[in-house]
Amino acid sequence: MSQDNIDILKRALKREKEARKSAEKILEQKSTELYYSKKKIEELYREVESELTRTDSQLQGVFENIVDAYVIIDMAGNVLKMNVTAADLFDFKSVKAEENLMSMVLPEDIDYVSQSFKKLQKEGSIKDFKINIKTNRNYVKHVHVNASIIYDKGIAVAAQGILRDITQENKYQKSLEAEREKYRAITANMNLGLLEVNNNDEILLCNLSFCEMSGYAQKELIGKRASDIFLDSEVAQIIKEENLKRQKGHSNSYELKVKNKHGKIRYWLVSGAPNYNLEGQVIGSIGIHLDITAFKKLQEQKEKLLNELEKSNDELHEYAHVVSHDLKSPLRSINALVSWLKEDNIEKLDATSIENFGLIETTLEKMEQLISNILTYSSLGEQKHSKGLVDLNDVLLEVKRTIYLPKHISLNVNSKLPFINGDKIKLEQLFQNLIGNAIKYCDKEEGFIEINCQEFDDHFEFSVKDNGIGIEEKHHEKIFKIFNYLNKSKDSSGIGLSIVKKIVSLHGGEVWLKSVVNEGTTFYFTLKK
Amino acid sequence: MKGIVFTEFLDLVEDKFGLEMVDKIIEQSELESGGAYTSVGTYDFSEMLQLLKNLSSYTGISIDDLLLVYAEHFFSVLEENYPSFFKTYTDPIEMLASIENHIHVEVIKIYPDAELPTFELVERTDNSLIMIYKSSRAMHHFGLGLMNKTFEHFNTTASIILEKIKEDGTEVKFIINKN
Repeated sequence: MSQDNIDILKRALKREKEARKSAEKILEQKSTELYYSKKKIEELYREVESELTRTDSQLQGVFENIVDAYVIIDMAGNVLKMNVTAADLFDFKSVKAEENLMSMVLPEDIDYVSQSFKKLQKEGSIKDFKINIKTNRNYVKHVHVNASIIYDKGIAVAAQGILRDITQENKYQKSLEAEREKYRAITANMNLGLLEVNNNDEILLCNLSFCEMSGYAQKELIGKRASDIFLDSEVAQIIKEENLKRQKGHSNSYELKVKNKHGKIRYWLVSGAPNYNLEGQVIGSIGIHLDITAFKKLQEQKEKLLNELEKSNDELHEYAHVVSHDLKSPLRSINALVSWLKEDNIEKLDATSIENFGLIETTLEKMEQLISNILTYSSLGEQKHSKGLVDLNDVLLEVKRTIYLPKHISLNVNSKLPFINGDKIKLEQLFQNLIGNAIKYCDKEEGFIEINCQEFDDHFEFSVKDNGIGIEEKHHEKIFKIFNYLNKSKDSSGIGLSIVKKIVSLHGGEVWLKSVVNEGTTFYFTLKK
Repeated sequence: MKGIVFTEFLDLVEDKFGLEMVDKIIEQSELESGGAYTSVGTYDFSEMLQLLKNLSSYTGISIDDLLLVYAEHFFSVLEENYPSFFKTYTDPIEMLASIENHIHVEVIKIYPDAELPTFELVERTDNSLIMIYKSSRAMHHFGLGLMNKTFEHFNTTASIILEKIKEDGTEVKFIINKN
């Protein structure tokens, strides 16, 4: 081998050695790097492992303690895992129950559910999904679901969901809405004006009727102070006081004089109640308004009429008195003059003239009685005698004592008579008139008058029965009217039954009669207890 | 540049021209590594350029032709060392089209500091491919050699035309038509 070749080989060998050494060095270095990398990886692994354990126990805690139902299902709907709340929600016996949730879907919801499940698979999650389910015990519940897909290496393997039973919530919500709608319909349609104000009397809400009542449009009212719009300062003070009462929680009703948009004075009846917030604090008040202007005017008119009536009644009484007295005195003068004329000329007068004088005297007497009766009638309405407890037995005794009872007529009181709250004099007049009539119209040889009394809940019913001439039915009504007398007898003024009717009315009673012509008449009347 | 390129290159030179030639081109070059290469090391590309230049001047063969031959040799090295890699492909066009997006990505995974050329895909049909090679190394014929071998690997041939876009060969269009 030549020296050149030896040199070449030597150099090649040297290069090989160096290459080997550098390779060894590189490998040593790489191996050290690998060792440290491995250490690092082991450390990381431990960290990850403990992190995983911690997270896992955290998740387990969440899973067990979560208030809502939590469930994991496979893609066919079979329950893989659930918490106690979920088992309760579905009415399963335990969390170990092997069930399929798809069987709980109501038939009518199947399309809706499968669409939603597709959406869940496509988008990975679904929120605020609401559905009716039929539980294991056949209860239908309304549940709210938030769900998401669990992936394993990018493949959907299961779905997890958090469910909440909103059956009650839904029911409450629905009934709340119904109530609200009812309330809204009432406020909108009622004929009463509704106004809601806050504690500063600023208008928050008013209904259509209120707008019509006040003449203002809704937008002219909202936000304004009600008292500024409707009231003058004097009335405003009332409102202020009422509002203060309401802030203390009192409800009340009161009348208000207000001015509407057209400047017209109107009267409103306001029924106000405090308005509370959820914390029970008074936040304002709600008032119901009724326009009583027309009613108020009628009342005013009525009062005015009553006053006028009273005045003209008084005038009438006065007039009757005056007329009676004024008429009576010339009558007496005529009577006196006629009797003097008769006495002075008794020798010169023939029989016919004497008889005519007699007729004049009778007529004058009758006229005198007529005038007296008018006076009695017209003074009946006056409260001259105070009312008191009157023993009707005493009244009857007094009547018997004063009245002239012919021998052929008997008067019997068949019942013990009660005490009546009334005017003794008038009650005497009442019995006097009825008994007097019975005597006056007796045409039988043996006449009788019977007085009876019957007690009822709130009144007594009296009857005065006779066997006199009787009254035809067609006259039953008009006999109670003043100056209506059927027989023109000399001592009938035609005023007696009018007085009876008036006295009975004054004592809160009624009067009527039953009668058979030629057999007799029974007058009935009632007196309040 | 990866050491394996150097070791395989020198092995090929020794094979074709003898150890003397190896010694000669190393001695003639000014090499930082001193020509002691190991496949696991990484060396400066200028060392390869010097070795190629010297080999070209000693043998009278052009650098491009040397690279072509060397590439054909290097392909067998790859076949031997990464057989599983070739099994991923059934078609040479498919394999070449994926140089940029798949093969080089895998290379970077194994050799993070490798400096690789880019192959921009211009046009692709089932039987043809147009790519633009870009690299400051101007080793397009190394690529050509590997491509030829690729077709050979799948028992087929192709006509490959090279059009230099830049005169220095840093940007070259490959027009490949499968036969």
